[in-house]
Amino acid sequence: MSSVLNVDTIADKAGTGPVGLTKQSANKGFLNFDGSASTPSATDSFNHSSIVDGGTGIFACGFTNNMANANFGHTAGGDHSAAGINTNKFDARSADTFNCRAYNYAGNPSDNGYIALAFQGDLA
Amino acid sequence: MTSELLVDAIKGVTAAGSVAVTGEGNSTTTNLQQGLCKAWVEFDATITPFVSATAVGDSFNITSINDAGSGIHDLSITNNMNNTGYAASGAAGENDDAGGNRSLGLRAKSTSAQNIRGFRDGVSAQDNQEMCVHIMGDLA
Repeated sequence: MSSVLNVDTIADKAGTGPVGLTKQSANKGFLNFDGSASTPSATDSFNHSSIVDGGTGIFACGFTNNMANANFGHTAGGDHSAAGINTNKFDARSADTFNCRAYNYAGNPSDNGYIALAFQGDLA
Repeated sequence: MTSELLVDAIKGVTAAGSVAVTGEGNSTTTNLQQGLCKAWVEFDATITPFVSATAVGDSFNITSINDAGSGIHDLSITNNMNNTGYAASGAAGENDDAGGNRSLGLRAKSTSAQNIRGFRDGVSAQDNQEMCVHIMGDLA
């Protein structure tokens, strides 16, 4: 017989710390957005607060709950079309902001139509 | 002594699909379900003729993959996403010494499928040997 635990919040035995997930780890944030929009904002997101457009292909993505440090992991994806494929470069980051740059495949900064990011690491 | 809870499924009481877990900093909480990768796959696009069951090395919540042209594949999602706003990311590689960068582009998507295309040197569409895709977002 399978068992089901119904609960709203899970913490460690002391009630204040995180619990371990056996042999797996959850993402701490993700978002995707249209970089070509006049004011880019997330189409869908988790633990994401805002996007600051810093120029062509330059975006600063803020976290709602900060990461523990600036050494968190990330993955990224981008669309491609007849115009080209995205590649994303990552500038200096901090515990509260992730900075990315988007390019077309000619190597030029570009406000691409689809940019997706996901973050892995420890929360503050 | 550490404690261990053995259980097959976890549901929220207030909302079945929402369980909060305490973050590593022992202060903030984060949503467990939203942080989980909802689908992923690793496959070899060079399998000829392309057969999904042979090409896929491992996967989660992916039903099958079709071959839609040079470097182009449709990933079918087993349990659909809630909307088309989900975030997908990926990488492409090749197990040889021929040089050149490989990349993976994301094309049209729906709640039940994600279309991708592999490239070499960011220009030429190509079936790459190592294709990896992750999908994050909400399940239907």
